[in-house]
Amino acid sequence: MTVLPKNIIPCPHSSFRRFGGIIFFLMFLFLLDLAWGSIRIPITDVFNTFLGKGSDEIYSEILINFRLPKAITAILAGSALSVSGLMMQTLFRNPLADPYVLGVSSGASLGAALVMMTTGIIAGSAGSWIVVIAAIAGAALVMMLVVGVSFKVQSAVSLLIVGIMFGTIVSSIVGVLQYFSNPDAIKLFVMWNLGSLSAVTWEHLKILTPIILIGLILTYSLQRRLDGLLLGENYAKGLGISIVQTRIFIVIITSLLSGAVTAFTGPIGFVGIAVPHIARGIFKTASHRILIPASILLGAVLILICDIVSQILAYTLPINTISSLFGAPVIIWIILKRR
Amino acid sequence: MILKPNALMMSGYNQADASAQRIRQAGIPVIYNNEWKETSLLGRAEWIKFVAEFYDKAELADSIFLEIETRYNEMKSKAMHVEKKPGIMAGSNFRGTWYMPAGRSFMSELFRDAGGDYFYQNDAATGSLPLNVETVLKNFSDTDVWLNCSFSTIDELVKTDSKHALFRPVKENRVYNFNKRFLPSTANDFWESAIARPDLLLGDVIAILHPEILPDWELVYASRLSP
Amino acid sequence: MPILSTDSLEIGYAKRKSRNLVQADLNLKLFQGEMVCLIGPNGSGKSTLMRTLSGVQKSLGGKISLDSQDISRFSQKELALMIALVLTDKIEVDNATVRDVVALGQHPYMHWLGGMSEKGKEKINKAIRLAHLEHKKFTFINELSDGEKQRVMIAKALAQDTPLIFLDEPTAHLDLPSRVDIMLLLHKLAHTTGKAILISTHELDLALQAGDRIWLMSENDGIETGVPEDLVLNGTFNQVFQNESYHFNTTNGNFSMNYPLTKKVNLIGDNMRMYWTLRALARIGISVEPDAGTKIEITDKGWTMDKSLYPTIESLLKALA
Repeated sequence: MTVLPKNIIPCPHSSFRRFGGIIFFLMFLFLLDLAWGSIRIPITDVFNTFLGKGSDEIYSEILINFRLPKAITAILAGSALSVSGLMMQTLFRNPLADPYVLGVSSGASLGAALVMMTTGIIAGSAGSWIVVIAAIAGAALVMMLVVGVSFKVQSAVSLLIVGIMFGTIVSSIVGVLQYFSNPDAIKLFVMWNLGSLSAVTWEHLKILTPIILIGLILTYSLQRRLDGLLLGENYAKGLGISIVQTRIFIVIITSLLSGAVTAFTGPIGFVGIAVPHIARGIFKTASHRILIPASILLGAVLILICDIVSQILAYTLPINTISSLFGAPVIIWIILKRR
Repeated sequence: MILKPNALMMSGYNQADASAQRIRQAGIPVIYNNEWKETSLLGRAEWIKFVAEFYDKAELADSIFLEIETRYNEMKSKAMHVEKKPGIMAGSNFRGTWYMPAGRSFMSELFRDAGGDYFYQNDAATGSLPLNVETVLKNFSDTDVWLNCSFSTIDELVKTDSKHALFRPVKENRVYNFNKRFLPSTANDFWESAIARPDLLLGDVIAILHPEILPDWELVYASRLSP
Repeated sequence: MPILSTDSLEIGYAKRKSRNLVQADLNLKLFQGEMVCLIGPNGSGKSTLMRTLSGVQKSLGGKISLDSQDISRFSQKELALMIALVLTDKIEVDNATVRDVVALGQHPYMHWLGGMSEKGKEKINKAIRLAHLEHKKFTFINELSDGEKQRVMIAKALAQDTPLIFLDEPTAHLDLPSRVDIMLLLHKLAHTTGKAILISTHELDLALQAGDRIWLMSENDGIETGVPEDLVLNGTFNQVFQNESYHFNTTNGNFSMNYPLTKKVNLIGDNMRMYWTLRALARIGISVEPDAGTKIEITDKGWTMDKSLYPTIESLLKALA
């Protein structure tokens, strides 16, 4: 009977411990995100406000109508984008795939651009909903095109290329719109494109939250098929997995998650690529049963960190910029560590 | 080039502009107008003299500008010696970013010349400051007047973002936009003629801040937000 | 009763207008407990046949019966319970251990939420044991050698618990010891587990040794099936692999190259060295005839020619050049 060195035998408890650690960290960051900002709100006041005993009107307003929806949006966006990135990386067996690879969020950008640059409606409460609906319509349109193509292509690589091409076409159309628009409209669209968690109000969250929760649950239900795809589509077929059906499920769920987030917050980059790799690095497994919840939690953590950093200064730093600044070194570190 | 003008005047952002070169090649001279580079309101308006040269109306331009300049400086000297300077805020929240005029921008100069107290008036930048909502709340929640708001009614303002209601100008109904004058082509004249008439602009702001200095002034560009 | 049989099977490719028939009138049988090697020159249609038999590609005519039922009546999932595949696809998974990959073989039996029964775990462990991978159970597959990776894929196919296993070029890209290892393993598995194992391979020598039956595919003459030695001795191999540059050498079961032979020597001596000396001489264009002028004698000490003793073949060849 050979004796195996300790670090080769996997300990199931280590996964639990790691999950526990991450959950604690997440809760800590959530509180931090609520407590920190240009206006210093003491922690006691934070708790008082939520317990209904808040005294200062400005503190209450900021906490309840600004920081809380922002923090919840951060968690939803972080988990949705990370899990979409994970699915894209598995489907295309490509470590650089991200949730935007199918062109769905370019579709959302197109919808937003059309509204902002042709009608100039943005100010006003109705305006923001028009932008959201247009963005969702744009995302849905591209999603349907990609689903249609999913039936026809032979391999996943072809689908990847088609998705990227759709994204390119749509981005070009947005470029044309910008060319013909007046500077104010362009400025506003550029701001939209930089991403913003604080753009999401409680009203918006009433729609966004159920969509994301449904998407996350559906993703978890796909865990077995995703595992089957790890060896490639040919082996997956040999295991009895219907490739076309699986592709379509993945496309629809990814589009739902990333399209919905983008419609409300604008594009947020890098979370989708980096977090699945971080999850793999921490849990050292390829099993989606672990990677899906891990990506959900770590995505929320990453975006909360980005949000906390972005509000340290008096000036707002766009979330898209910060997530890229964080994400890129993480990827580089992971790749270097592997070699 | 179909119009066959005698000359083309354009902003001098980029002197090596390709389309400008083509126009020059077609034999049409290109004139660069750099009024946007001016750092003061009067300075911007003074460019009327530049344009007038091409129409041989230099004298007329001179006299028009002299009028504007005199009126402007008169109003300015009255306003700047007022004891109590009301606080001013500007802009509004768009997706979490609130652009406020920087210290050396035209808006800031306007506020200062009109005898207002603007929190960022000593800031050295010339463009806009991208602030977050919390900072704005911290520094402006207790201010007096809100100018250059882009909404039309207080109701809309608050509906779009409930945080807007926390500002005192909203509670006291002292919020103004610059949308009063719309041209037939539905463009906002604030962006058009106000550049040439800083005196009217100044008058508007002074009338809002210190009604006792200009009691009979009728607002030209500014209008108060209706509830 | 064969676990798989074909009846006048036609395989090939059909597009909208054209029909490209690769092979026709195939009547093949696979029995449980046997290892069958599918051999043939490139382009004869081995891959097409493998894909058609595993249900991945449609046949152009005829019938395939799996366990006495027409293959077209099997859904993709049901096929996965009958046939396990080992392909040449490159495996690039991060952070997957040997056990993780072998466990994928149990995929068709698992609940959609990913839970595995005790029976399933047993099958996985058994598969790992049969493939001699126990000591590497928790090693990441990226850290394995190519030969070990291939054994992992075989173990996965075993864990899938199917009556049939199809392998496409299982020894491609492996070094010689691994190739022998794999072919031996597959032969043993067929006999101990009672599965029917079909391998398409270029590994002629090992196939002839390890295969219970050979399916010899030629471009134009269909498929001949039989026990390897029969196919060799009745000249079928020679026919199928006819070529001007080489011929199938019935004596040693290998391909012998047809070097242009311009000189002649007479060679005597009757030990094992004769065979190798013949090969060396053929390479430099010398054939061996009893009536040749030059005489070479093989002795215990070396090769004697013209009263000189050459201790190595190299020195002999130098002298003859």
